[in-house]
Amino acid sequence: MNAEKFIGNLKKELADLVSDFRVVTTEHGISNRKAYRVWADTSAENFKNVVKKLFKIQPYPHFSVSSGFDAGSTIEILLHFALNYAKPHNLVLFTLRVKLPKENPKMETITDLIPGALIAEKEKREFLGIEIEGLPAGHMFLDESLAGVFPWRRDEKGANKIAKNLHKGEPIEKE
Amino acid sequence: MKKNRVQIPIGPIHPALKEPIQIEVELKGEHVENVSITLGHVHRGIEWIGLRRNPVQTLALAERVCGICNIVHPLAFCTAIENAANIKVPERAEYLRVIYAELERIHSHLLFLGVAAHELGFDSILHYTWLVREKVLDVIEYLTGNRITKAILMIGGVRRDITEKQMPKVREALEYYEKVYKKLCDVFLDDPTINARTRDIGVLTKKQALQLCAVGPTARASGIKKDIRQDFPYAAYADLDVEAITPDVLLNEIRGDTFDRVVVRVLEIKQSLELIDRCLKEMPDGPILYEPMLQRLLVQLRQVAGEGVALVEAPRGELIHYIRMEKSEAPLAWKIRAPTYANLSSIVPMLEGCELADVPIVVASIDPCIACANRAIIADKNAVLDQEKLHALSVNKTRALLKGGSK
Amino acid sequence: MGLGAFKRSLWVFHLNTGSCNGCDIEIIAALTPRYDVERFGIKLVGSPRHADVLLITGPVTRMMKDRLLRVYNQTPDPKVVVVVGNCGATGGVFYESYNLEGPVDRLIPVDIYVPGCPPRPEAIIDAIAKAWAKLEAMEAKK
Repeated sequence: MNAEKFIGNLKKELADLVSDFRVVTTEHGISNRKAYRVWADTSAENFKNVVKKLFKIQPYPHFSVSSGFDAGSTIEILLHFALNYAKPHNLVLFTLRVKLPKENPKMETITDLIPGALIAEKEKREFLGIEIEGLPAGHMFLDESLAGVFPWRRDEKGANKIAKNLHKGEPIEKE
Repeated sequence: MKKNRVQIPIGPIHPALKEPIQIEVELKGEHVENVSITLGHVHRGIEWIGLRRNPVQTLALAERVCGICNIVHPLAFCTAIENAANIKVPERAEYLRVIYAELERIHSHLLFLGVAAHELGFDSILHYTWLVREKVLDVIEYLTGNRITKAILMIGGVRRDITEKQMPKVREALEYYEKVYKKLCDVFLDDPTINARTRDIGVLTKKQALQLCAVGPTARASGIKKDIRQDFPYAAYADLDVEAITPDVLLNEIRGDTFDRVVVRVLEIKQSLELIDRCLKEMPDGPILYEPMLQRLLVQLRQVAGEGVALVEAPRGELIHYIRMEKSEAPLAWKIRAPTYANLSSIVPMLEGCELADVPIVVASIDPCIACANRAIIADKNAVLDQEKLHALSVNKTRALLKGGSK
Repeated sequence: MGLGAFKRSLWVFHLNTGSCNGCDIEIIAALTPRYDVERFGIKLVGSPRHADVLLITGPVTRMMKDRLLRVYNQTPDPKVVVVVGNCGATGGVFYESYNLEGPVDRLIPVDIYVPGCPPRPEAIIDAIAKAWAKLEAMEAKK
């Protein structure tokens, strides 16, 4: 299936579950071949259904990773999927955005559907302090001495207060 | 049978995944029963640091995610920014990017082959592959000015062109590798001992690879024909029609074992040579930078509000960078996901059922890094088995096979 | 450099405290045929207890701090500490972070710095030769 047809299917399947469905293309090389990136937004309630839907149009959707950042009043989690892979020049890079409220950032795990998402989900939990329901406990990246610090947060839970300048040997937030 | 709990803390693992790893292996007799993974020893907080600097400064940081993949990390970073800022890279620069990336793949795969041989106790082959590898480092130094950290990529293009005068040296290196390639095939593909130590060891089935989202040579060795260079147009790969290499090209079957992962990488060296050759011939003339004035580029980037994401095929597999710009000096978000991060989960099914002596080669077969494979310490209940003893165990197994002992 | 008081071959232990691997592959490159330091009797060993010289790379992450101190204490005297690469010497590009405890000389005494990102194998070999000279001087004093 070529990418455009695949994107058409994707749009149809996800119509009720996502908003702001955007297709961004870039052109590369002398042949100006197009690379397809698709962006869509969904809610914390719907996102798992979106992932389940992906299995309908793509056996084993390839979960690349999830990104996440602190957008002020919300925490945005972006799940990047490589879909329609193993077909020359027709991969669709699908990014699903989930906005979680800052006060109670909570989402379900997708490791029951995609076991390969384990490391990425643990990472989001440790770096952004979000709760992932159904994900086994245990830290993956950060030392235990950093408990309570979530480096990617931009608020008082962030890492600024403990970060050091190595040249000076003192905290960066001294003044 | 009494269960011994055996711990293997593998030290600083592949830094491209931005952290090392601790693998705990539970053994029953000689066989691995259970594996669990912890990461974190090399976590430097690169993404956090990147949110405090402008994109050109961060480029230097992206290069230092990994000492081996320092073309593909900046490449993914630049592509993500170009995607966010709608920058069109000149065609010649796209070809140059491919040439540099493929030179890097050759050096990385040769490095892997050396490490794999070392894990089996073939130090003469380690020395041979690393001697051969020096040639590509010479070419990289000749073209970029640096052996390891190349500092050649720039947002919107590359910093230096390959001139007509430089071509003969690159061509000479390609011819050298054409010759050496036959010997590499002999050494790695036809040797009965390497065969005995890697065939059907550390198997990753196609289904497991799909479920665990394995990438790169690890996924291809299990029969998944995915390669970002083939699937997703970026740089000049859009013109080159790369074909993903799976082991059945050579062997007519796919087993997903350690041997298959070696085969894929050996074949990819040949593929990279052909790609460089084509790029040198087909590269169009023209500018190599979208905006040569650094200040003007920074002013433009400061106006960008948007996000970009890039997929790149690193030597170890799919690499992804995500960046979000919000009309400020520094980006709002930056996420790096290196291929080893994705492939780590695959170590678990590979190791289960292996013998202890197979652990080094199986872990090395996803090509994490020398730094990791060299720092395995096994703490048995009473005795401490360090990396030397673990390595000795692996070497003894090879020797026993050479004497005609049974497996 | 003649053979002075230090009359055996030099054994080196290499510790990565969070380096990007650039320096680490150059250290291995120094051992392989192009540079071949083993012909001088310089050998990489698997345990700090056997080592005369500690080669340290990386800006020292939070988790590696204790390991670095432990390795330093396990290395028998006389010993020489060589820091390879900019980030171990000053923090380099990672000069501000929440997860770094370096540079190395904040935690243990350092004798020789090899600047570069990464330094060439020639520079690393030169540092080892200097370490050798220093060890000779230390042994001669005993």
